[in-house]
Amino acid sequence: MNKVPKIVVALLASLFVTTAFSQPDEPAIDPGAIAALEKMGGYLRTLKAFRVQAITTNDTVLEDGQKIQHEGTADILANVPKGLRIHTDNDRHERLFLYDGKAFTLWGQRMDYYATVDAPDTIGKLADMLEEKYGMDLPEIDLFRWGTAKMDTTAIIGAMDVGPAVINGTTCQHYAFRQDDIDWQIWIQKGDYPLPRKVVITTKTDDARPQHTAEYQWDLAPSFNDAAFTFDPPKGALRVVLEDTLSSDDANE
Amino acid sequence: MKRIFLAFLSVSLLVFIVAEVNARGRGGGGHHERSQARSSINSGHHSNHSNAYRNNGNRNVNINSNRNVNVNVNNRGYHHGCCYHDDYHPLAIAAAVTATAIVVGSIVHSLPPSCQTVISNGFAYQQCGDTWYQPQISGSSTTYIVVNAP
Repeated sequence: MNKVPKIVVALLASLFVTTAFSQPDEPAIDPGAIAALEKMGGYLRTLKAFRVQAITTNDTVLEDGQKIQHEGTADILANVPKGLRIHTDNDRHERLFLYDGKAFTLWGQRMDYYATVDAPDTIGKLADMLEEKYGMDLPEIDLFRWGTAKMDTTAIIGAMDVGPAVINGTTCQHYAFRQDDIDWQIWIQKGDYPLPRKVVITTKTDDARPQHTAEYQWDLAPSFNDAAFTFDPPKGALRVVLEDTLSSDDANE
Repeated sequence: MKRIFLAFLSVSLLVFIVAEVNARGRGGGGHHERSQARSSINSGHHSNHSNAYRNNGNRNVNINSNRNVNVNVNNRGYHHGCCYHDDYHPLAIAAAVTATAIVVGSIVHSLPPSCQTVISNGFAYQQCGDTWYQPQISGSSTTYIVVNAP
């Protein structure tokens, strides 16, 4: 140690100080990353009909902090603005979400229970109604909220262009964003069709930082008929109520 | 010899079935969830509200079901212990839960044994002895809320 020239120590120390002070308090926002998000959102809202097949993972945190990951699928067919059919399946539950512009039905095949409620006249209003009245998010609802007033870029406190990346053979640009409660990443297809190809959401409100991931396969010319969006209860299916998680909380807290 | 073999086989089968039923009936190991990853960016309700009632639901049913389940399940090296997001069929879990008196408004994730489905005004209820449950479905779970007789 004594053999190290003092000048080197001084240089190293000054380098450390410079580095420490040049670190910004807030993560920087790259306007290009925000613009890419807005471009993607604008493009999504021009789509009149599409089918998205998503492979998802979702972490559950146990009381001791151990994380358990469940994998699943979501098959989403949208006929904007009045038709939506989503089939989700994972180890834990299977659901069919159906909306025909007038009614919304949620059917759990394994239990053969279904719930039907009156619905407003667009997919966007349906999503808002389910969220506000029942505390329920439609699966992969961001696909319907980017490019609308519900896309809140003011919540973003950090935005970074990570660089090019390939998702399932598709060349994408990878962006990373920070918000108060979540960090999230998105891979947007390069070229004339700026579609989201992958999303990772990291929840920061739990120390274990559970994640939700989704990889999307897009079909922009799906074939379907109107019956795809209407629920015809199978024989033996039992009608139950749609759970209102908002008021169940109040009742139990 | 053949008879002994058959007896052994049927006992094994019984043990297997009990273990399976109990595994599906849950509680194994007592691993309760404390949170879940948020699954959307652009949504308004970000609190972990859904966990609150799940934990309360556990309190109502798990004291008994854990006791029943652990012996079989853990001996088999299973860890079916977490995450109240399954759909259980009332019949499949009958063996795992011993009923206790439950007040109206309580929410449970599984039903006691010997329930029957009753349809009233087009909606399904489960009548289990003197207690009535209304099944309710969400995007990720099926629960039962204790109600007055419809």
